[in-house]
Amino acid sequence: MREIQFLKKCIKKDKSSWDKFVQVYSSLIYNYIYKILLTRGKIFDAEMVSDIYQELFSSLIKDDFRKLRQFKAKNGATIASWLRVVTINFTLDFLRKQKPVISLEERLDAEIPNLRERLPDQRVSYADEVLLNKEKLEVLTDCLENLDLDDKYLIEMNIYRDISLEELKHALGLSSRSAIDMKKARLIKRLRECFKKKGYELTV
Amino acid sequence: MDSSIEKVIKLIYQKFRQRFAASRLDCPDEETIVCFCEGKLSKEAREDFKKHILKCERCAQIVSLYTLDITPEHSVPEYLLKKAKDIIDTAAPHLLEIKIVIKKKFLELVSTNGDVILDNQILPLPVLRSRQIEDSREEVEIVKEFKDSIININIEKKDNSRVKLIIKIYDKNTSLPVEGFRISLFKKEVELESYLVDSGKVIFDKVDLGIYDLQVFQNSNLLGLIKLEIR
Repeated sequence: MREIQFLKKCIKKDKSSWDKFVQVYSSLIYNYIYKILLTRGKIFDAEMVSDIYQELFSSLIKDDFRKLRQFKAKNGATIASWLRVVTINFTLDFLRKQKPVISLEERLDAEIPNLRERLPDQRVSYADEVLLNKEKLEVLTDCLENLDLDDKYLIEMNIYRDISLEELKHALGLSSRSAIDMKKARLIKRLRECFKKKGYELTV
Repeated sequence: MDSSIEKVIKLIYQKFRQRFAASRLDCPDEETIVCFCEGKLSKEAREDFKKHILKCERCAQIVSLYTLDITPEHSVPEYLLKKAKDIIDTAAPHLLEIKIVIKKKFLELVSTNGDVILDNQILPLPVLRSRQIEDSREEVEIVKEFKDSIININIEKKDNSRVKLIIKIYDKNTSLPVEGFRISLFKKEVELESYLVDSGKVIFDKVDLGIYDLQVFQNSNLLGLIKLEIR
């Protein structure tokens, strides 16, 4: 409630409130932009971070503070956490405008050689074999069809996007790290068995 | 950690995901995403959002980026802080943009972020175009909300190099003409004309080709800006 009152003052163009808003949240926004760019393979580019930072602040007050008015402190959300999502959205839009869109198919094709380059050891011989055969990939996707929502989400976030298991506790409704470790181990076991039934047994 | 099988699963999943990926989805608002990331959604809403994430690349990216460490590593340069603080002094809160071209027999509306009035219907320009309605007429009428008021601008072709502007301002709730407004016409930061709104209306009779700013003041405070380009 206090945060809503604070934003209301900003929206009324109360100079000291706005100055405080900028002072309090600038570091979060600026550093978040920088970290998002890093995940997208951009080395620290102060000019780009500055551009996004300035455009983001302009977008917050545009059309009579339309963006800032959207914050309602729903379910106890804070301005800081909301600004993190706003910053992610804004930075992704900024980057999208900068580069041409690549289709998922092209992305997959592009990533196959990259992955092979990154996995030179003998332990990935099976992965190599799979990579070379797109037909096999199609057959093995059947094993994912029957997984439940939480298992698919675990693959999406932990295996596909490298998000730590610790970070997924809330979304999976689990309270302890050991529970989520066990969930993942069981999932991998089930998939391994399914791959085997399809005729693709892992040797490693 | 069994990394080799995870790499295999990752590849298979990538292929699997393509089957369900949708390009345009009705995504939840940013606050709902925050609540999901912080475990503040109800079980039902959480399950719905997880289903959404499996189809929506954008939301999946947002959720994964939300896990980034927020420890600051860089100080914000002082000049940026100053710019962000000063932005509130200079920004006009509302903006109406209009680009028109004077053709031999009509006016062509090139772009606008306002809505176009056509045969007593209010339509956004893209809708007008999607219905393949001709947006070339002797007169163009555009409306946009500025806080509690509606700005209505009528652009009328006078000859091949000039238009007439009739700007009306109504109260959004009562639809009655407003008082206490002033509109100033600027070209290259030079003020050309300025009028108090009389009976909810201001007329700029002869406006030549060029790029203009029309500043709308309410009780001496800048309420909004109309950016008008006439080619």
